[in-house]
Amino acid sequence: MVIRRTLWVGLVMLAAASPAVATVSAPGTAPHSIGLAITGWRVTMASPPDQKVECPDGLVASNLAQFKAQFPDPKDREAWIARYASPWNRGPHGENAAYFPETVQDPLPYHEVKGAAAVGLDLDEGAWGQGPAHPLAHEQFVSPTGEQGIDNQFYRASGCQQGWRKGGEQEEDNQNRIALDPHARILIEIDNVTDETNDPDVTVTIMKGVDRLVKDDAGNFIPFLSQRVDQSLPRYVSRLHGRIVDGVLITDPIEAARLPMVNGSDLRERLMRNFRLKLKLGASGASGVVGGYEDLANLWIWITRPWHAVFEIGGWSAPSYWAALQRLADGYPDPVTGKATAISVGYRVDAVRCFIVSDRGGDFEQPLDVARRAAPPPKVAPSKVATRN
Amino acid sequence: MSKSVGGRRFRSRALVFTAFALALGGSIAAGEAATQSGPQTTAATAAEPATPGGPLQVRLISTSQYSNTLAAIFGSDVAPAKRFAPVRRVEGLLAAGASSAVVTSGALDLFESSGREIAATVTDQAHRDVLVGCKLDAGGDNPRCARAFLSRVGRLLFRRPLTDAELDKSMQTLERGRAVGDFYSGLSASLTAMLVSPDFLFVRERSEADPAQPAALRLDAASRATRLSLLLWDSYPDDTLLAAAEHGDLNTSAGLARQVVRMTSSPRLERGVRAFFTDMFVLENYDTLAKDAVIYPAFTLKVASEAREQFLRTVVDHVIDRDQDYRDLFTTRRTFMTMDLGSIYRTAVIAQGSSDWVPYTFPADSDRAGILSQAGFLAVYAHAGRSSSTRRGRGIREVVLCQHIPDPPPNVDFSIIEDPHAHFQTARQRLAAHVTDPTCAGCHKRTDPVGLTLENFDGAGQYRSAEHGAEIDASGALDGGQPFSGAVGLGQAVHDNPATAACLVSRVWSYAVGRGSLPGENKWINYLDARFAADGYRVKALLRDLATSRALYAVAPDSSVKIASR
Repeated sequence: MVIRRTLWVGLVMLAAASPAVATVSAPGTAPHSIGLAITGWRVTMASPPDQKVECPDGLVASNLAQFKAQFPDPKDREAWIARYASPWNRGPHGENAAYFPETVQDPLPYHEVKGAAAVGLDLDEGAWGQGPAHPLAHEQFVSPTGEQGIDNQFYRASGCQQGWRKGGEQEEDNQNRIALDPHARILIEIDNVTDETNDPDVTVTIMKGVDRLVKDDAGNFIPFLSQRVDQSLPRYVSRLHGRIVDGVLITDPIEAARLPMVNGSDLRERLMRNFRLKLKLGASGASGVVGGYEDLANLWIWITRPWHAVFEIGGWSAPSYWAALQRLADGYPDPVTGKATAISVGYRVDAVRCFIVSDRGGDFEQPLDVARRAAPPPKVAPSKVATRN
Repeated sequence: MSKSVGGRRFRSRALVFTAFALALGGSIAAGEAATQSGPQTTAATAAEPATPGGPLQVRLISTSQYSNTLAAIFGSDVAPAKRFAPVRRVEGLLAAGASSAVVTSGALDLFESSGREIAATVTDQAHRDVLVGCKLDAGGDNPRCARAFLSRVGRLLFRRPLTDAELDKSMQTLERGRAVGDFYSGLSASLTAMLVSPDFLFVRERSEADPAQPAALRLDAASRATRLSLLLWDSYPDDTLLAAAEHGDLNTSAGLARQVVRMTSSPRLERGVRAFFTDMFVLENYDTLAKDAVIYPAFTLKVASEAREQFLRTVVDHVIDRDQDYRDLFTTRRTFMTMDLGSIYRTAVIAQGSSDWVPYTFPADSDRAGILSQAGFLAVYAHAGRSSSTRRGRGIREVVLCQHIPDPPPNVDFSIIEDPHAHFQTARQRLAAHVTDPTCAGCHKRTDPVGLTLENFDGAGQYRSAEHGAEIDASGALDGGQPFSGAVGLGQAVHDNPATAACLVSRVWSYAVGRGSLPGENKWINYLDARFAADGYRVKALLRDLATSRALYAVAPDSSVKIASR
C-alpha cells in the first residue's frame, strides 16, 4: 500500500514514497517529509499590549452607534427601520452598508491601532515601490519577538475592533472554524527534509484537506493523524521553496496562494499574494506566521458576506472599516488609479503534525496548472466591486 | 507438546456446575451409565480416543449470544446494544464461568427491560408486517396467526418445539395483553415472556439414551445443535440446524458433517471466531481501558475501542479469511488500521474517513509484528500512565501460553522502586531492584524476561527507543529458548513455543463444552493437539475436527445438573 504521496504542482503528479517519519530527526537522516495541519489562525498577538496602548482613542464605533449618530432623533431611526428593516441598511436608498460601503459616510471617527507591535513579517524590506508587490509607504510594526519592519496594515486597520481583539467574537469564531471545520483544513507538507534543524533546500506544498482534527482531554490537538488531500480542489495547492534555519522554516514568497477558509457556513477562500511562511518546527507541531498581501476585494467579501450580524458582534461599521482598509492598504497598486488593491497581513498560526495522504492515487481531478490558469488573481479594483452610484 | 502447558489442563477438579436463576427451579437428571456416545463412527472419528464425557451444563446466555440470536431471528436493527452483567472467568474463560453464573435481581432487570424493548420493536408499526405478518380481522384479532408466530419464534428461542401447554400459556398472555391494549400489545407481552424465560436465557443441556449403546447416554439432538451453534456461530441454532436435529441428522456422522460444513462456510462463523478470541484474549479489558490523558493524550476512548477491533480484525483475517497457521498471528505484519490508530502507530493511513478501516502491513524493518505488538495488547497490559513489563509478561504467560502466575502478595514492598532518590531510568532497572526481594523474585523471573522485550512500547503502545533518556534494552528469553530482542523476537519465540498451539486447543475445548478439562480427557486433548498440528495449525480445521468429534457430545454416566433458586 502506498502510505503517502507527495503532491507536486504541475501537469503530472509525481508520487514519491518516503518513510513516514515525523518526529524531529537527527541531522543527516534520509530525506523525508513533514506534514502539518493548521490548527490556529489568529490576528492578535499571543500577549497583546494593553488596549490603552494599542487603541488610545478607544475601540471603533459599532454599526449601531454609527446608525444612532447618523440619525440622532429616535423618531428618525424608527422611521428608517420601518422602511428599511435594519440599521445595517444605511445607504441613501436603504443599501446594505456591507455590500455598498461607499454609499454611506460614517459620522463617528474610526480608530486605527497606534501601538508599535504586531504579528507579521517584513514583507517589503523597506523597498517601497519596488518588487512584485510595489508596496506603498506605510508605518511598520515591531514583532513581539523584536523583529523590525513588520508589515501588517490589516492589523493596523482592524486591531481596534472589539471582534478582532484577543478573545473577540470574530477572532474566536474564526479560530474555531479553522480548528474544527474540515472544509477549512489547510495542510502543509515540507518535503525533501534531511535535517529538521538546518536544511538549505526544502519544498513546501500547501493543500486543502478534508479530515477532522482531534483534541485530547486537555484541549490540545492530537498529532500524527492522517489527513487526506482534497483532490477535487486543486486551486488550493501552492508550492513554495524554503529552508530550515535553526529549526525555523522560512519560505521564499510566491506570487499568490489561495487558502480555504470558512466564514459563516460556507467555504470562502482567501487570496494572499506575495505569500510566505515562517514556522518554528516542533516535535509534534509548529507555530509561526503566515504573511503576504491579501487581496482587498476578496478579503472584504470574506469578512462581510456570511452574516450581517457580524457588524454588531464584531463591533464595527462597514463604511468606516472599508474606508480604513482602503486608506491603509499598501500592496499591488492599481496601475491606473495608483490605489492599493491588497493589504499587508500577518497571521499567527499553529499547526499539528500529521500524515498527509492521498486516497485517489495522487491525482487531482484536473491538472494543477490548468486549474491555476483558470483562476488567476482578480484584476478588478475592490472599489469597483463594492461601490454603487 | 509441552506438558507444562496443561499443568492446569490435567488437573483433576471436582466440578459442580450449578446455575442459579430467579424464578427457575427443578432439576434435570441424567441417566446412570454410559461412557461414550456420539454420531455413528466414521474413519475420521475411529481414531478418536474415548473420553469419559462431561456433565450436562446449564449455561447463561452471554451478551453476544443474546444479540446474535435475536439479530438472526428478527434482524440486526431489532437486537439491542445492551451489555448484561458479566460472569466470573473460570479456567481462563467466561464461557466456562457461564456454567456457574449467578443471576441477580438486578441482572434479571436488564434481561426484562431488554426483552420488553425487543418485543415492542418487533410488534411496532415499522416491523410488524415483516416480522409478524398477521392480517387482523374486523375485530382486530388473528389468534391463529399469533399462535403460528409464537410457535415459530418460540422454537428458535427455546431451541426446541414448544409444547401445546406452552403455546396455550403464551396465547393466554396475549389475550390478557390484548384486553388492556390491542392485538400487538398482547403479542408483545407474550414475546416478552419468552425473552425472559429461563428456557431462553439458559442453555439447559439434556441427555438421552444412546440407541447404539443401550447403557450409555448422549446429548439429545437440541443440546447437540446448541453446543454446535454456540461454538461456531456464538448464537442459538437456526431453523436449518434445528430441523436437522429434529430429524436426527446430528446423530449421524454424515448429517453432522453436512451441518458443520454449512456452518463453517457461513459468514456467521466470523461471529463465532470473534466470540472465542474475545473470550480467550480477555478482550473485555479493552472495554474499560483508559489511559492518563496527560501522559497519553492520543489514546482516546475511540482509540481504545478501535484497538479492540483491530485485534479482532487481524484474527478474523488471519484464521478465517486467509485460513493461516494460528501461530503466525504472533509474527504477522498484517493488520488493519484507522486514522486515529495511525496516530498511535505513527503511520499514515489512507482511509475514507475517521471510522473507515483499511488493511495495513507493517514494514519489514518495523519493530512490530504480531498481535502482541498491537497497541491494544500493549495498552491493556500496562498501567494508566506507564508500561508494565510484569503485566505484559503475565498476560502472555496466562492468556497465550495457558500458564498460571499467582497474584502478588498483598504486602508486596514497592519501597525500593518508589524511592524518589533511586533514579531508576528504565523498567529493567526498576525491576532488577524489585526482584531482590525473594518473595517477589519467583514470579518476576517468569514474567519479566518476557515482558521486558516489549519495553520499546510505552503504556499506550506507542514506540519509543529510550526511557528517561536511557536506551531501552529489550532483550529477553522465553522458557529456555534462544535469547531474542524486541517484539519481533518475542513474536517468533511465542510462535515457536509448543505451548502456544496447545493453549489454543485447550481453550477451544473448554470454550466448546463450557468447563475445564476433566480427568480422563488427556488422550483426547493430545489427540486434538496432534490433529491441529497435522492440519497446519488452522483454526477452522480445529473447529471442524472438534465439531464433528464424538467427544464434544459425550455425556458422563453420572451427569446431573442442578438449578437452584433463592
